[in-house]
Amino acid sequence: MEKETDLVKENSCKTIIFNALLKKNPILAGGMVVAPVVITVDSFPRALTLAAAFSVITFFTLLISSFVPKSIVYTVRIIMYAFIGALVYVPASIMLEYFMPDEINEMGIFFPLLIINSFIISRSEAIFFLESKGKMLLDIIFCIIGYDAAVILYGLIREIIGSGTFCGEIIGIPAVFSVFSEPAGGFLLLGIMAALLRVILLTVKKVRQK
Amino acid sequence: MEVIKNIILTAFTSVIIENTIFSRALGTSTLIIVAKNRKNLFGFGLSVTYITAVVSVLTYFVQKIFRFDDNAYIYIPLVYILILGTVYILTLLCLWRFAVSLFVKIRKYIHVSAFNCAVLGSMLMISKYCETFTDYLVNGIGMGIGFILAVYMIAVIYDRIYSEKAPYAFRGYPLMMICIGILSMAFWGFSGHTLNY
Amino acid sequence: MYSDNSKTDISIMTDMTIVLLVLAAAAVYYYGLRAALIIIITTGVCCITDFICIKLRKKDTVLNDISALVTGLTLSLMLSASTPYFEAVIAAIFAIAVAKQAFGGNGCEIFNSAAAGFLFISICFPDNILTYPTAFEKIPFESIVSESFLKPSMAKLFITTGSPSVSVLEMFVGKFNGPMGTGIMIILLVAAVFLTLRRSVSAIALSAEVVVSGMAVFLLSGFDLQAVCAFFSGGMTLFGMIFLSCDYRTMPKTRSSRLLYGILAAGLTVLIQYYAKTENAIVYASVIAAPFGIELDRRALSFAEMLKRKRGSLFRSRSLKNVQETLDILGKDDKEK
Repeated sequence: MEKETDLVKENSCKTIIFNALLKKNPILAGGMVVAPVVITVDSFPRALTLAAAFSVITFFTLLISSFVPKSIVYTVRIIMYAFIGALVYVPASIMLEYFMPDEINEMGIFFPLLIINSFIISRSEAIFFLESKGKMLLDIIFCIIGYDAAVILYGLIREIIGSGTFCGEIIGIPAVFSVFSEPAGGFLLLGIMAALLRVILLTVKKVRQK
Repeated sequence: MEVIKNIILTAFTSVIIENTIFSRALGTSTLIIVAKNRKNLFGFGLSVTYITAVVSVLTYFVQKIFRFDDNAYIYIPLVYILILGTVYILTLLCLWRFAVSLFVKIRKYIHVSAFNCAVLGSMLMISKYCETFTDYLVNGIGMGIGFILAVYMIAVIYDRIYSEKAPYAFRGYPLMMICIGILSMAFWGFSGHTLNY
Repeated sequence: MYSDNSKTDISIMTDMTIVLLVLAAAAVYYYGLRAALIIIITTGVCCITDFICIKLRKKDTVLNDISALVTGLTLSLMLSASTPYFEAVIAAIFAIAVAKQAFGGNGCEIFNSAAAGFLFISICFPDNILTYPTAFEKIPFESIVSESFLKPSMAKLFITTGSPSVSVLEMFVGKFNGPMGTGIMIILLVAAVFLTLRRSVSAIALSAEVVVSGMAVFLLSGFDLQAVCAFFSGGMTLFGMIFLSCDYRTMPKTRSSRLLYGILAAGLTVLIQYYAKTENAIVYASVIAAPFGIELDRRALSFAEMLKRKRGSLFRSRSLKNVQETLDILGKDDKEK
């Protein structure tokens, strides 16, 4: 009985991790927090900056928000989540500006916009806060990792094909497609990467079935 | 006459040239949720435009207070969230008191229309680049209308994006991003350059 | 609400191909063998990409589907004769793989694939795509043509200075700097008449676009007919109206929708050219107008259904028969979705 329960728990945790990283990747499958990615992440260093900023703000906001009593009416709860996000933003912005002042400055308005990203406003109520505390933490951590990994890969590809550089150094590729440095190219690349993820998942599923 | 011309130009810029979704990508996640259901689109559009208009006016007055503080950028988002929350609560209370049927209809989606990147983004953008009260108001309304125009254009082609004929790898979200990308390229024709943020 | 559904796809595509081949021949006459090479490469890559995508999707190739050929020819004629070969290839791959096959292939596109491909490549490489050689000048065969051969288009100069730099006769014969196959007004006018009479292009949409935009430009330019000619010949406006915005694959199906769609596309073209000062405005306008075309059809269907419900109230049986035909046609498309 205990073994069965443990097995169920393990599968459930595995499922959570697999979903968070791949199958329901927040940016490549869920379409969450798209704006900062499309506008600001046009290089690898910027991708790292967004990943850091998103991780810090989202993790601490969700952690603190999970203690907001569910007895409070939803109308007020949502304001509290946003308010907690704005409070977390203050120390987060001081800390991140200390370590990466130029990069945070380059993010412009998209850094404070992370306060009310879709993780905090919608996914928290829909998924995270319905789970037990342990699973919720696991889900949040791996969702954030999944998002960060996708954003970093995205930034890397976008910098290479959009500017022909890596971390600002020219790497001499034969052609540079400057549309990928624009928001339009950002959307196109996101769509293509999302389609590629689906192809990978489908292939993995077929291989497993065989 | 000059004033009216400036207002029209400002409105055109905020709705079309600096479109909230196609040029600035603000509120893309909200677009994905809202574009599914075309029934509530008009109501949603009105609520977003109303909220962006009201908060942009309040932002004008707040900016006057915090304009000369160098560290304001750290706590100004907190102030904006308080403004947004207040407008949200007061709107719901007024509707509940004076227009119950509208309250029942609107409460399904007012939280999505208030707390999204398009609204907070418009407050941050407007406070950064606008000067006069008219600019704040017209840009606020314009960003709301621009957002709804983009949502409408995607909602209209939603069935095609989720059609069985589209390859599975592209069906749905990937194709939606590609459509937004193609429309963004077309809207780029209005501005011809990358916008500041 | 009456729809033109008497033509088959293959018939329309054949008519389009014939006209595009005539324009291609004229482009080769003006710009030499390099133009022929660009046309062959672009068209070839479009067809090969289409074939590969269909195979990857595990679908059967339809032998009489020459839509990729039509897209390739349209796209190649929109390019400069000095376009680097690699860029022509990229434009072709984007037009077919992303703007057509990703949506489900022929008949499922939302945006005209050639327009999307051109937009992509003109934003990526504006210096190469939006500069043009002079007609009858020998263009070297190297991929990257020297800047000394290239000049901005007549349309760009017209937009910036407000007056055309060539005579009306030169506009009619297409003897000015511009995309290689889109400026020859004489051929385009004959093509418009031919395609309209053959019902391969909607007469309602095309005439609405031409009339509305022509009148708008006539008024905005201070009643200058030369400016109207420059508007239609330069910036691929007339070409775009025939082959991009009136593309039967992406156009609305009902007549009333086509009329409104034509007016909308014309308005957007004039707005983008005159106020945004962007050349090739028709390309942007046809992409932006595409979703509205779909919505106009949907509205026409709702209106037709409403009329059907009010059977026998105000309308004669002949009108009801046409309403039924319209519902059948639109209902088929909806069922397929």
